[in-house]
Amino acid sequence: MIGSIAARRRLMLFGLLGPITLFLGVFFLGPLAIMAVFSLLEPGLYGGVDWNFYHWNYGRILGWADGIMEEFDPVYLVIFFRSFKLAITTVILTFVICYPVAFWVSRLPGRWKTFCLFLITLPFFASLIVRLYAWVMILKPSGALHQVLMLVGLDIPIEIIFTEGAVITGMVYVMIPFMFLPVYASVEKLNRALLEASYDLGATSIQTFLRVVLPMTLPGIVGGSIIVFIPTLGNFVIPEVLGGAKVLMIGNLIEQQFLYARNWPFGAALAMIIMAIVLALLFAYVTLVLRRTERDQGLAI
Amino acid sequence: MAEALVELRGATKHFRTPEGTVIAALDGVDLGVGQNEFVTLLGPSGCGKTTLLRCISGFEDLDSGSLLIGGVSMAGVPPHRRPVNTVFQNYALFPHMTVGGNVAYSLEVAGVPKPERIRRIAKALALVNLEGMERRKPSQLSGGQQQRVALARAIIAEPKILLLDEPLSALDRRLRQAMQLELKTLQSELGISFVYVTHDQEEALTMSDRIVVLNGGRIQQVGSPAEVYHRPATSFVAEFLGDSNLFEARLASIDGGKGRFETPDGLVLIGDAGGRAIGDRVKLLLRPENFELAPANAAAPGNAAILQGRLVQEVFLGTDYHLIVRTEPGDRIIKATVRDAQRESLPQIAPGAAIRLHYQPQRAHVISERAP
Repeated sequence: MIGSIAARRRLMLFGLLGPITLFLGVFFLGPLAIMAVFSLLEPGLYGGVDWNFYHWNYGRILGWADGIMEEFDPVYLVIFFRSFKLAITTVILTFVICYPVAFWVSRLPGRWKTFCLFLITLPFFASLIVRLYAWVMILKPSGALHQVLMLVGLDIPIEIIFTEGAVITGMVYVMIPFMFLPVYASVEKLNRALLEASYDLGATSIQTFLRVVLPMTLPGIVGGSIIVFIPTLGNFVIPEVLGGAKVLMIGNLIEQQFLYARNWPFGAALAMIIMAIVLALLFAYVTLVLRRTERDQGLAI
Repeated sequence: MAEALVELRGATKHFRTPEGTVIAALDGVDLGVGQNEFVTLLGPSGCGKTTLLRCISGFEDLDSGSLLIGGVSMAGVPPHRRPVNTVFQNYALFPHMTVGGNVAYSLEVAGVPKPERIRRIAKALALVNLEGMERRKPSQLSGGQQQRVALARAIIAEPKILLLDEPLSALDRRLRQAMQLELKTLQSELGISFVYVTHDQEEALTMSDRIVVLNGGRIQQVGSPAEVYHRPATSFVAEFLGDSNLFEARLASIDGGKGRFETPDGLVLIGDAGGRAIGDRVKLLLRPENFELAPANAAAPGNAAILQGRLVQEVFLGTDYHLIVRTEPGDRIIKATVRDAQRESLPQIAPGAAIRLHYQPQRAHVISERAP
């Protein structure tokens, strides 16, 4: 019987972690490896790949032509830049909208709190596509927004649809629950006695916010920012519906390469680069935030 | 009291309950706290003691009445501008800061330069016996240590008044008793006035210069610990502080300053008449330790008064015996505490036996019933 408990525990661990390990290994790491390999192969003339090493996939992204058929053109860098700009704007706007509301909701009596949280998750009950087409109806030149403005006597031509503004509106709309929930969780946990302690010790509202509220809700803010930033950056449905052909983002570009241009290696290279950049940025962001709070905690004496 | 540091006049505060009724948390409270004084607000939960403290610290506004600190009206002065600091019930230490960061918080927000901050942190931590703990996190400390950090944080800015909201309630008994002594010592060393809120009568008796007993938003009595214990102003105070035997009685006759009080069920008690008239209704208080035990047929020593009864049960407490006695006549249960030696010198007394309790009439405290 000696060791049987340990053995059983080991067996249980395998049993519990085995399925997910197997699943992710086959369906996540496998395709990722295929992409990594394909990104370094030559695109076939009629789709597919030719098994020759070919580094121009990456060169093209950075604007260098392959020297034979293309010239220097930073068109892809422009798309990268726009995607990051839209994603960061979305993160900032969702945060600005959600943070004060989180405080307001956390102060509500229990029943109303639950109701508000339910409202936040309500959009998940309808298809994303349907909701985006509703936004098209609202934002189009003779749409709902225009009609409402007409009713109050403002005959302003609405030219929002198929602009970056429309894409940002859609992104913010879709991403609000993802920012709200983590931010709310950290705001809800905030002990109000700490705020009183801060005031009692002579801090003004602004000092209390900067020294107590912000640092203590930072984990939620960081979490929300990451959860909003990554899907926004790679999103291709919202720019397609609300941005038309004018506002191309990385997601659209990758989609086009795989589905229409049938240039798998170039699509794979784009995906690999964007993944590398996101990982690097996240790493920098998290380390920076952690180090900052650590310093505040350690040396603020 | 020469100059009151804190002065409350006619302080009133009402709260609306979720059911829609209005309750008076403070109902016309007048109170002065002097320089270098340890004042305890004592009462059961819901008596208004915490509300009173929060009104002084500025987290609640008075509905009516006035509050002066150092002679200055505090009406409209927000908490961060008041010359008071608070030790909160569950410490409310900032978990994202070190001990040093917590202790120096008030100096930091006031813009005190760093070298001075570091010097004063060391001094404040030394006062609470936490030298060298600056870089620890609150979560790495024991409950008692966290309590000391909260204390150091509240005194570092040298407030005129320190408010303490049941600061020891989360500690175990032994630690609580040690901290009681330390708090008292600290208070006299610093020369700051302490306003201390507790529902624990033992804590109040141990530490206070003056005890303010509150009930239902009203002050029941203000006095030194000995005063409120031995000469409670109301039956509420008598019952809230310590064990008590209270008898409703009527003054039947007066003989040389001593009154003969009779209860409705036929008990006769002797106490100070104190200028009362025959027929007055009073409550008579006898503390369990006022009694001495004697056999049923013993003669009363000197001028001691006698209460006859039967021993129902006894509990050994170490230095004392706690006796439950049923009086005859009257048939009411009273409590008496007698010393070991006395109880053990009377081995013939067993539960069920007829006994006598002696007490000195001047020990019986007579409380006048308030006019309704």
